[in-house]
Amino acid sequence: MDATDVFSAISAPTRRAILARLAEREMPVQELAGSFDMTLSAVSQHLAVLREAGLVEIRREGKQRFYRLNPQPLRTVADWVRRYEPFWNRKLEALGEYLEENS
Amino acid sequence: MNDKLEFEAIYPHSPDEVWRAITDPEALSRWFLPTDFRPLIGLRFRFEAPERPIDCRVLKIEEGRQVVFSWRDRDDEDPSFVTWTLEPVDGGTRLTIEHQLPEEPVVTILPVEASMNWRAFLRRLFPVPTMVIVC
Repeated sequence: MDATDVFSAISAPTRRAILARLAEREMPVQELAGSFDMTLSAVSQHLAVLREAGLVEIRREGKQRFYRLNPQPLRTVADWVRRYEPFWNRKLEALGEYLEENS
Repeated sequence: MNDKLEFEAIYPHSPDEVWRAITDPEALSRWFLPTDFRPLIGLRFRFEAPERPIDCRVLKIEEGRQVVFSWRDRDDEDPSFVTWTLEPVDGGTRLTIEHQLPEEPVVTILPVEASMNWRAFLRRLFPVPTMVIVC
């Protein structure tokens, strides 16, 4: 999975909200649209982006299509953040101390 | 695409002082990591991190304002990209650090507030008790 697509997919607040909703349980697009007060086509577009990034999967049951969360690609991004966020924060702090001591 | 981590801090020092601290190898070796960095475009250099060296290359120098370099530690298949940008502000200098995922460098701005939101979101899905945000 390309982490760039994942970052891009979760950069939109609406799509994060959709993922959070699907993290509770799988549901059809109509139900998602209802809970966000959005049109079906707007929700479908967001779902398409999320599927492209591998974050959402479809399960068919008869004529019904259920959308569900696949959190696996988020681990890529989460690992990256976990690895580098504390690192850069520590360095910003260290620079502040260095400047303090050397001016 | 918003595919980068972004951090910033404001220091009560002049842009010149901060510029020296982020481009002088001796200064960098004291507050950042031991290095043979020099502000020369194309230069290959290393940061000697405790666990393993990080192989880097200077990609851009804008005197007094911006440094861009590639960043590859042993675990990374492809280099990522680090951008340090200085900006004078009231009473000091703002340093912005962007760390971009291994991909082609593209210029995008991720507002700090937006980045905080998705980080908070990730944390909810994958809680990490030790994570601390300083700035």
